[in-house]
Amino acid sequence: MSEAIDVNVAGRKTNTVLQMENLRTFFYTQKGVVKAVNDVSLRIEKGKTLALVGESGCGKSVTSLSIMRLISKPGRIESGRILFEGEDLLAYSDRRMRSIRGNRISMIFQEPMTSLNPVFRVGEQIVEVFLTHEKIKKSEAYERAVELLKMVGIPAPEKRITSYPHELSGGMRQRVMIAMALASPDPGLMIADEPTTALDVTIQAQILQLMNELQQRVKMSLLLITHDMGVVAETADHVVVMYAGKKVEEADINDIFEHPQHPYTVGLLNSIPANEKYRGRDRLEAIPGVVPNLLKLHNGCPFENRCVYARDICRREFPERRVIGENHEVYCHFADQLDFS
Amino acid sequence: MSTIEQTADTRQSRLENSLLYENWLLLRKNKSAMLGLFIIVIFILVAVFAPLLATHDPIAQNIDLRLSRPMENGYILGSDDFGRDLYSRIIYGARISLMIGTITVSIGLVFGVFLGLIAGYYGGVFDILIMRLIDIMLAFPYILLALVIVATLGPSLRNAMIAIGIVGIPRYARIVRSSVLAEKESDYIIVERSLGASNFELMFKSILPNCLSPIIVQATLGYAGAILSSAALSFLGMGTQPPTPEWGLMLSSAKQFVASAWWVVTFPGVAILISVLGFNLFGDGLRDVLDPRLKE
Amino acid sequence: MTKYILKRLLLLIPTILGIITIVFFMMSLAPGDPARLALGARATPEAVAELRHEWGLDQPLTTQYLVYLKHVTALDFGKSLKTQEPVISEILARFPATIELSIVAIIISTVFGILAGVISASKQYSALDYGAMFGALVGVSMPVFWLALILIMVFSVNLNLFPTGGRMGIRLIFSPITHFYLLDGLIYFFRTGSMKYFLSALHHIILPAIALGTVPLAIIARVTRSSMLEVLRQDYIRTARSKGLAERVVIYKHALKNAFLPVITVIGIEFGFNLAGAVLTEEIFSWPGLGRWLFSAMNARDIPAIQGGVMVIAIVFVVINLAVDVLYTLLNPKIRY
Repeated sequence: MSEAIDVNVAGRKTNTVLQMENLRTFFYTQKGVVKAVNDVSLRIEKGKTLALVGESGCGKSVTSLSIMRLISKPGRIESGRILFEGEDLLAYSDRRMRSIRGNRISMIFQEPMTSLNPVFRVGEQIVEVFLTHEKIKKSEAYERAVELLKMVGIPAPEKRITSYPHELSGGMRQRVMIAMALASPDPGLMIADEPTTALDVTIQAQILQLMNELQQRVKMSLLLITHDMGVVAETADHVVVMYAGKKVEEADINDIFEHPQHPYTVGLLNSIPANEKYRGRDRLEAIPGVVPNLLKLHNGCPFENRCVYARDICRREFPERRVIGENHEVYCHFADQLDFS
Repeated sequence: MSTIEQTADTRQSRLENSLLYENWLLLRKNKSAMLGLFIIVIFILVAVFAPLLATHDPIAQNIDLRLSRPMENGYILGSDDFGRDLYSRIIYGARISLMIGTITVSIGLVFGVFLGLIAGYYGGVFDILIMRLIDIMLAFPYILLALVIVATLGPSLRNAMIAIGIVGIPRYARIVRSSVLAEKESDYIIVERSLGASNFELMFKSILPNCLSPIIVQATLGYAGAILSSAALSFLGMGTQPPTPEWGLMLSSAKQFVASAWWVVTFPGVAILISVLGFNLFGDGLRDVLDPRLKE
Repeated sequence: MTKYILKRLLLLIPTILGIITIVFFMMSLAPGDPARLALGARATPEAVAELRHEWGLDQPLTTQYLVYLKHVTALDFGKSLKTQEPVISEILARFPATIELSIVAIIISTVFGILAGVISASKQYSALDYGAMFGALVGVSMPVFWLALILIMVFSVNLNLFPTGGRMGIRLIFSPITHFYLLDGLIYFFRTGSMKYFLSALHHIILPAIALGTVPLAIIARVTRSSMLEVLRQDYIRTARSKGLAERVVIYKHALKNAFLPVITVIGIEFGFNLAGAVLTEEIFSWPGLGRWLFSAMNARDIPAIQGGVMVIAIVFVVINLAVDVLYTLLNPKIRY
């Protein structure tokens, strides 16, 4: 049964910009099959920010690349549906998908240092997006590019537009990437994959603030991928927690911080230094153990080997979905039986 | 477990753990490298067993039967302008080529490695001098340098091998020098030096073994280059002299027979092509196996 | 930037000096007395001694060297023993032929080599990729002179499509202007409206250019492929795709421009090799270029000619390598001196 029909009021469905149903993306390597995304569903509402959280390797990046259909060999999108404004992207032809990329769905990546082409000027890389998707004159495209640079807070945009990427700092490059992602008359969804991880802490805050502002102004939806709960706290409306290719919990922003139900989510929250519970203490609680080898997963809950509450059933069966509140669901055999205080 | 099984186990695990074995397994998967190895083995076997495989004496002339077609008059691949059996000459040519390859690579390797070690290890004025020399040698396109050396010494097979060997020195020197520079500051060197190892011991016993992989790759490719260079020199009359059955020499007078005796033009060249291809395939495969590991 | 070029030019001088020195001393090591060789076996000892004195061969070696050095800086390479003409003019007369051949060959190599490399890289692991790379390996394993012979055998003799040698149809009466026959052919076309000289020159240059260009083509293809593969792995390619650009644009605009840099270096080096190593091809196709002239000089033990020829070729080679290096730094936006 598709998760689209759930506790949410029927009327809200029309506000959905992206609906992913049971996505499976696998990688067929020489050493075996890696189930990078293993039956994940999520929904992004118009104008809202969905944060996709988890450690590195949990499948969140692969999820975003699957939406863009930028998965290449040896990876393959096995099954599922990705409905963008009602239509399944996985059924689109290559040509149609290309018309969506950069135009209605755009993406910014983690490493601003290497994500821009070093031999082309910054302005040209932005203008390229315009010229690919619209029939406008080059001069007009350049004017709009300058506007975009101004919008993302780059000083002296008319001069900067002729710079090469290596002439800009990391923070500026990321702003350019954001500008590139906005280079469309009707941006629908922006996917930001760890946009601030590679930047200095002070710049991080600036970029996050910029993204919040832009979201208000342009009214676009944002899928934010991160491993940092601090970033989540600042930007997200709704949160999906992933672990080893599976979704383990999903809730609105307040619920996830105040009433987390999955042991992994609790572990993540405990690892924020700014967490209240650490006031007066000087030791961070880390989650013991390591992420399991994705080639050798058993059929149960992948968090089992690190979970203090794990029992036999956790190794045998993957938990079913349990709804425990408005917009709040969790995948744990012992959901709402555990006391985390 | 019985003692026999235990010993077998430890031997097996020691074998499996050796880097050489690991590399060999990886190499086996590379089909073109295996093809190259196959060709090389055939090449060596042909060279070694030439007297058994040949049907005629390679330098025996038979003017009456000159320019016979392949499969005519008992000549499998035909005969040349002097009535010599092309097949037998090609078989013995493998011997010559194997010898040429081995000697030239040895010259280049021995002197190149030596110079590279000195330049890298002692540095300073040695390094500057040696690198200048290398740069000047590399300033000449190699065929020209080889030609000049042979022209100076006089055309003969021996001088051709010396020339090709000398021309090959810079490459080995450079490889060894950069490896030495990289290894020189490693921890294990410092430890061994503090334990009293002499410079000589350090250079040859500790550092050199670590530079082996690129040297081996270069040596394999060196065989390919040597066969081609020697063929070129002989073709120009600057290398092997008649009646030695060297493949390049066999082609030197072939131009006049382009219209009349295609076998004289084709077969020696095919022999060169296949043997050089074998060394190139294997050398490439070796490099693929050994290099990315260095990157890691 | 200019500082860098000047520095490199300055470093060129010791290298050139080294080349001159090596060439000189090698020639003096050569067995045989040049004077006797020049006069023939019948010459009297007195005549030989007189010629030796005239040529300064009785001076100590270092004096000879300095004298030689002085002449070389004035571009006087002496007279060819065979023709008694100044070596420098012999060289200059034959240079255009070699340059023209090398240029046409390198154009063929570059165009087809890059194309093969790009297509191979964009279709990695396909049959096309394996086939092309195997072909490239075969290309570098072939002796050039053999390839030339086979080309002549198949295309000239059997199929009668191309001539077997020379630069221009024998029956065409032709006075060269620039000595670049293709260029001259075009000039004649503009003057007289007749294409026959141009077409004949083209007809004659194709086979030797293919022979000379095959090995560089294979090398360029391999380097282009590995460079492209490296580039296609980069993040900015993923960004380009995420912008919705057509795959063709991603590969030929975004990827190729980045991958091109190391390829340029190889093209330059191969061009240098073409100029210097055309000996074999020129021999077979009876192409009246520098290589062929130098080779006959070697056979005739024409010492001044050998010295002059080797030096000129080596110096040109070194200068081309320098030009390639400079070009690389110019084109690389990341390196600014």
